[in-house]
Amino acid sequence: MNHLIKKIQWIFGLMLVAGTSTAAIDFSNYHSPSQVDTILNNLVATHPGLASLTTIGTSHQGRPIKVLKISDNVATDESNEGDVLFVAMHHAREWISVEMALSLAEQILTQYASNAQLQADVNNLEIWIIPVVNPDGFAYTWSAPSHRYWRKNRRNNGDGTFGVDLNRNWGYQWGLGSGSSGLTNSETYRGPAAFSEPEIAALRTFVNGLDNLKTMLTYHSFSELFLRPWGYTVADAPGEETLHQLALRSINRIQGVHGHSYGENIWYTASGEATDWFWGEHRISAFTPELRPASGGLGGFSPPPAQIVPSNQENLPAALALIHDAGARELWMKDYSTDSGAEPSAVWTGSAWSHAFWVSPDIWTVPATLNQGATVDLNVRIRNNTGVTQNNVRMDVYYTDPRISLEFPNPDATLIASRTALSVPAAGTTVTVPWTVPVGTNSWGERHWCVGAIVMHPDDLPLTTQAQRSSNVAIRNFNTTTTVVGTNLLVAATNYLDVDAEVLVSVGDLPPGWRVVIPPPQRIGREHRSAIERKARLLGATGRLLGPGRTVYVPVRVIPPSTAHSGDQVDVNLHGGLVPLVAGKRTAVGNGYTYRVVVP
Amino acid sequence: MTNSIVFKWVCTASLIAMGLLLGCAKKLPGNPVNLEPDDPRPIVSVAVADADEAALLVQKFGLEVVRMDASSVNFFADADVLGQLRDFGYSTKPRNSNDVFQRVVRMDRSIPEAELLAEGVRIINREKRYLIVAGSIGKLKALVRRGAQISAISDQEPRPRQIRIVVERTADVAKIGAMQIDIYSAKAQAAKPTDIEQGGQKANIVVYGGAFDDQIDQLRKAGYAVEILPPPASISGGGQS
Repeated sequence: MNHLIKKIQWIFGLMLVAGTSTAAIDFSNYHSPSQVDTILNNLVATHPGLASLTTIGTSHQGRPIKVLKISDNVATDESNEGDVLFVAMHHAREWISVEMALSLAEQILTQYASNAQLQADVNNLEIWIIPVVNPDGFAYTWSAPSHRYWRKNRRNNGDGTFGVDLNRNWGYQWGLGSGSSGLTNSETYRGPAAFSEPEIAALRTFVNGLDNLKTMLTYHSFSELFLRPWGYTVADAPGEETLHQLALRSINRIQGVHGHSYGENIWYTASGEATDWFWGEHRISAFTPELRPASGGLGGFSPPPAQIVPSNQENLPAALALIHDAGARELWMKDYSTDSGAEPSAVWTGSAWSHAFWVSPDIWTVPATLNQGATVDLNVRIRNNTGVTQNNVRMDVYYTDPRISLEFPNPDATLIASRTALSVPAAGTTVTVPWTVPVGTNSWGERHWCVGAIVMHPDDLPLTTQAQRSSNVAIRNFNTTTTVVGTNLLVAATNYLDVDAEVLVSVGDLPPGWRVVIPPPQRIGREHRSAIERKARLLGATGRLLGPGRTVYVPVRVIPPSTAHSGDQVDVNLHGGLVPLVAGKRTAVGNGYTYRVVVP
Repeated sequence: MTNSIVFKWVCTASLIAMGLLLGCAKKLPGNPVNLEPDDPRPIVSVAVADADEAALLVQKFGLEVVRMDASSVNFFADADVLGQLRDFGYSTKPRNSNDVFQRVVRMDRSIPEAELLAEGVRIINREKRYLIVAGSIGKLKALVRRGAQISAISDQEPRPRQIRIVVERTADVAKIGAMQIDIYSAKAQAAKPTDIEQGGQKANIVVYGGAFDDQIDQLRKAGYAVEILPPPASISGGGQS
């Protein structure tokens, strides 16, 4: 009898859930799967020039995984624009995450006409919102009261149990015993293989097809946290400062709405989760907001419906700020003389970068000739696209050994100076800091250093550590003498990724008659011994192989033409790409060196 | 009179004995379990260094994976694929399907828990009338031969218990997480979380989560005081009994 009453109450509850008119979405209660579909259709019908709805794949049980696209020319694939991705409902019981995704879509679409900044951002970007990446699990939680707290998808595991934890099925550091489970009944079952689940495989394929993904948010509940990589370990991720600044700003914006103070740590690990894959393999910043409530037991997954609106409200400014970072490019530095500020400023062609982007003209020294031990003026020019003075700007500038795998910030770099509360007028400004040129040589015996600058503003933060993909980051190579006398060079690469990788080194255009010889990497024989060699062979990789944290030095010989005389010189651009040895799309990170070589 | 009392006593005792016998012999609720392999094709395994190598093998050779972890890939054997793997220097090992395919089933208590564990069966939950256990079909067959009764869990999947643990350090939260407990929330009550993170000072951190009985055993063995909470009212009607 009690069971029957509960069922009646449940059905009655379903009837009471929010309406789905074409007017503003009613967030007075949670939306059922069919209501979510209706809302998405209505958003597209109401904003046909701005929104479109497509399917990225289907679930185990054949349900479509829908993505709402928002952009000014929504029917056109504008590959020159950046992409921003929002995902919700990895976990079926986290209904409030769906409400956030719907609210975000509605706010962007309804504010577009009246909010000039948002309009500009939308016009510069393609925004993608996937409100329900786990449609089977979502439907299951709505099918009976006893299913309300289901977490996983609905894979039939074949042993009597169902479900894989979709946020343990991503391929970066998948399969670790800590932070996920190999047991099918577990709530954190990682699945039989990485990307085994059609929902996550579809999302990976979709992401790999985006031309220029800048950032990604995956909404979860609960605990009121704003999490950043890594998830699989408690150690800091490379670029921790960049990720931390983005998270901190988001937390402050959230707190500014209703005073809720979101935390930064969960204190335990989760391997195979989404943000690690985005950051680890692709250096795309990714975050996990854990929505309301702040604490509690299982009931925390179904906070009272009155919590939906304030939860949506407080998370909106953080999401819009990330969208703005991706679209605005207000404060920036050139990566090379003809750089317009477009991101990316260079792309990996498979063997080289389309532009040498480690030669920023916005970083220079006075005097230009560097003597070791001398203190020089290091100048960083910050450009301003906004037409008005920007205050509260921060600039960090570092030096380090040049490495083709370099990113800023990175754990091996030395901070030269940090300037805060800078004012950058409309015409831009130059910030000068003293730099005492290091005495001695870099790690491999050359007087060659790399300087990296990062410009940050509360409304314009770098979304990645890669200079070519963020106009807020710039790199310049320096020799402590103006030239390298001699023709033998050495290129270093350190693998900052947490996975095996190959290093590819090539040379840019040279004047006629000049040649550069880069010895080929050791050939992998049939009797390859190590795991990294086996992976390289499976991929047909041709580069030098580099395990996580390891450094490789590549000897390079410059051969002048026979007509060259002593004292003749040439700029040699050496390009480097670090490409992870993983399945699927392999994104190169890296940069290069510019040596001015003088014939001895 | 006396005869009548004796007769009544005998009848009552007989009824009790019959009841007990019937009780013991009572079938477990649920459908029979299929303990045959899910697929008749032979299975082989190949050792890998990590999950990336496993994924590359799948990508390169289109392996039809049965189960994968960070050290091996089990897949359905295919003569062509086996040849290609050999060419790449990989050696494969045949697997017994009875060891690979698993079942999660209800099991009566006719075999002591210690013996089940010794057999390599995992006791997920202890319910009022039976255990929920997981094991390979080979091990379950052996236990059935020893007299264990099993039945399918059908749509009554084992449900983790809602638990509450109070710990003093964030390292304890990490340890609990490493036991694959589904942590719902972990909040410090006695100090600001930032203080805890930076100084490692003691505080009351209340951890709510979901854990199966085997995990609860593990937590208690590790010295944690685990409080089992009732499920939210809305779901108390379903699941195992």
